[in-house]
Amino acid sequence: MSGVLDGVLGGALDGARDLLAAGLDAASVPVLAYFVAINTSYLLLIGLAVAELVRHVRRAPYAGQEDVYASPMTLPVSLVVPAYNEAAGIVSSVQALLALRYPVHEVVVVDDGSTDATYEVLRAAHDLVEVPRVVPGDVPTRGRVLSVHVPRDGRTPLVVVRKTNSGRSDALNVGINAARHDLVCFVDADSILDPDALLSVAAPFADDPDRVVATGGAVRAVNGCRVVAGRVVEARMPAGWLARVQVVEYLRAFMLGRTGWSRIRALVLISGAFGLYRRDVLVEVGGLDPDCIGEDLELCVRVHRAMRDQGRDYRVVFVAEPVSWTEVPSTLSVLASQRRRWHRGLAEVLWRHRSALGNPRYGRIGLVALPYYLVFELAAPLLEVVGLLLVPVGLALGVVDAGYALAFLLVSCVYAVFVSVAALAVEEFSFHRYGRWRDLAVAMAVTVVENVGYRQLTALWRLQGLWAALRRREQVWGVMTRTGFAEEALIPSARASLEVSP
Amino acid sequence: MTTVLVADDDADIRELVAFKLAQAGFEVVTAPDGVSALETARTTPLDLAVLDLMMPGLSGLDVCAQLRREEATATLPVIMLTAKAQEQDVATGFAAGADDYVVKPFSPRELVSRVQAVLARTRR
Amino acid sequence: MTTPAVVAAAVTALSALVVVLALAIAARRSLRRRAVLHRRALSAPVRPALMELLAGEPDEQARAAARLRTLDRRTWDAVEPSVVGLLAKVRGEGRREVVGVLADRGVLARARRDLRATSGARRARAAELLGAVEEQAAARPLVRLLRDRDPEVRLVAARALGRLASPHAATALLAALERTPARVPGPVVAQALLRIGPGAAGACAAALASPSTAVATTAVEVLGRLGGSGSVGPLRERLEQDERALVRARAATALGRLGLPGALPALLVAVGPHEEPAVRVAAARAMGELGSTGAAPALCALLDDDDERVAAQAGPALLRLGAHGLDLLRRADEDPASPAAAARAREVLAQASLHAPVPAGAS
Repeated sequence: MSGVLDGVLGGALDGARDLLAAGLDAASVPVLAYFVAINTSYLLLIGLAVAELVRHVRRAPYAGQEDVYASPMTLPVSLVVPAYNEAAGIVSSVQALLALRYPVHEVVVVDDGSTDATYEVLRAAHDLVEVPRVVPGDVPTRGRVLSVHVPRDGRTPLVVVRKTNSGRSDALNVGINAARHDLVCFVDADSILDPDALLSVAAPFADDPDRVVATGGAVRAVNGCRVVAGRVVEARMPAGWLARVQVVEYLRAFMLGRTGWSRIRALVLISGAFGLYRRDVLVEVGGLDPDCIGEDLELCVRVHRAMRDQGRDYRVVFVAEPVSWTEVPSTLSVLASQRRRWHRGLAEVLWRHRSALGNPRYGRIGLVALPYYLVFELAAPLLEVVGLLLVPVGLALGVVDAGYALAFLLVSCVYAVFVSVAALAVEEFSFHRYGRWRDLAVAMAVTVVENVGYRQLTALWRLQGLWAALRRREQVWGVMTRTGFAEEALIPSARASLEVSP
Repeated sequence: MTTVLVADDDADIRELVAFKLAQAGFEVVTAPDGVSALETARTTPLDLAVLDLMMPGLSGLDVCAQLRREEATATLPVIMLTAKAQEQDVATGFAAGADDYVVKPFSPRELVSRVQAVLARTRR
Repeated sequence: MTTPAVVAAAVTALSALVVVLALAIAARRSLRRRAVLHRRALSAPVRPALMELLAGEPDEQARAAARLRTLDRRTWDAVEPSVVGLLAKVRGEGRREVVGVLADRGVLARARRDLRATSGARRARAAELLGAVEEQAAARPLVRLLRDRDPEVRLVAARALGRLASPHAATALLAALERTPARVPGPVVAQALLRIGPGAAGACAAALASPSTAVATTAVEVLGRLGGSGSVGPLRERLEQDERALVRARAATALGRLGLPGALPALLVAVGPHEEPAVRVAAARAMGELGSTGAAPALCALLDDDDERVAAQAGPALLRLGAHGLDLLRRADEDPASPAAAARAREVLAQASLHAPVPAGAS
């Protein structure tokens, strides 16, 4: 009896092994091609980023920031700050925003139905009084505006709009409506900005006013930095390894990724933590989409499409200057839900704009940027996780050549280290904000350590996000939306980019 | 000895103003930002403060407003130094309690004259 | 080549690159540190002389100038950036001394030569320096740079011409806007013209009728900001006669900025229902800035206008007319015939009472 069973099992095992062998064989060439392609693309991005940063550093002596500051022609900016239960830091945040170096700007705080003392602390700090101001409906919104408040002194350029809770995107849309000026800047309530941040991101509008429609700045991790009076005085690496890895991740994403994409004018992502748009363009495209998780990316793609549909000559510019500092998750659970959410957002945006994928009508965006995100960003974790699972199985079954697997792993690791070190080098030769030798040593260590555990974990979380996106489309729209926003409210850290790990 | 506080985040300006004021016979203390300026104002007896408007964190405006709120420094003469020359900011500066306003780029000699004039005015 | 060999080669190459990069980072960092310390060490003894040059008594200034002039090359190189930086921060005799030292050390001569350098970055840096120094002799070469092939150089040249405040450059600056796309952005030209000041008014007046919209709108805007009663006539003409709505709207705004009552009749016409919305909005706002009570009836009628943006301007404009406007707003608030106008009037009145006490006896 056991003999028959053994025979059946043996047969099944053989069958599985053969299947696996055949599968892996078939997959080996495409996988290799994918690997080569993705790494070549990183090389290209590095090259582009270097070229762009060289140009940026070289033109610093005559960039004319003082002129932009002194010119009465410089477009005023409305800073829109969505706030949900931010009582702890909102006052100092608003203070810092009001103190930014810029000729004319206002701060519009949108209280998204906070249940804590957010409004109260602002009211006390600035002696706010209600005004019967009607917020125009230029951009469609869902939440209802309850009241509008301004400081009694009549001088401070602050507006606080209270509304019913309807999520960050809708709050930003209300902010767009309430904004008075021609440029609208989205800022997260817990971001810390450099004093010249607004000047830096507004400079492209001053240098090329007819074409530039949106600009974004670099976001960095504030964990571990010395912050004095709302300003980052010294950039330092944080103490926890999780945060440390993210610091290097953000450097890769912004110094290499965004800079490179911006150089070839295919930047599709402007960080929601600090992005500047023309108000008329925002109104034209209808503001942010409250139903989309990846709303920052979605807005930027939609702006690109609208501009190209109109046949307009336009620019979306990335300012490499580190301008915004945000706190990154320091615990696994918060980081996990953040990465899941981001990847889910990426999937949703790509699905929503699938008609632009590979569409020559949308130029570089349709032919290069979006396909890149689909193949090398969205699909990457799938390949990684499948590889992680299959390869050990294959090894156990004797199907995969141990040497080959090891070689692949080694090259993959060394390449990843190379890309990270390239990012560190680019940072050192341009802005060199991390002064201490100790921090440099830590960063170098991170480039290696990152490959053992962190990369695999983020791949897993991203895959979970992708899975959630696939499932979501079958569920009721409204119900999922509510849950999504409640989740967001629990997460204390600010939003950064979607594409963090290139 | 008449003591003047000079607060500006730009080291060149701080040094220059301090130099000129010292040359004119004043005792000078400097501060690189708003927070230390307030600290110094609270701990050192001052006769006048020259504050840069645009300082990171606590601006000259904030420092001035705070000085006016505190009893010990409520009558301290303040001169604002700034690159912003738009009308609204001059008004804002005076509304916050400044006694005079000097626009950058400035003439060091003129600044000293203004310091002397404000001191003479407020002593009367 | 066999697979293991390929892999080994790849790994070796990449690892070597990583090591090279790491060394480069370390080298760059140490070199930078060393350079900063070196520069500080060299310039520290010279700083008192620099301060004396800027702010000392005349004899001290002369002594300091002599010292800086005869500094050895290395020390001067360490100090030069500070010296140039100070140009933007001071004015008066001290500044003149600084410019003198820069001239004596050949810095300005080098910059003048660099205006024709092959590298765009060098041309731009040179233009920037000459602008900072306000070297009048550089006006003509800078005007030539307005036609440079590098857009950055053109931008810097325009800004520098503004700092030079040379009236002769005004025509050339406006001419840089003629092509599409313009050689220099409109706002940069406008700012440069404003820095030139009243000397640019003539060139702007001449450019008002230009067929290029960019030139006309920039000229209109600059005239409005420069001020001067002489501009009212030409700007009125633009508002009444120009075919382009954008130019008319800018002209209305400019007339508001000028703030002279002679503009009122033209504005009253411009706010009429036949006009483009953008022009009407600008004209309504301008009437408020004029502050002339003759505008009151028209503004009152606008409170009720179909176009939301135009109506939104009427209330604040009436406020600016003083007690008379306040009165009319109150009456509009209580007028049952037009609820929309009443609502707008109420909003404006509420905001006004917030910031300033309502004058007694006016209720």
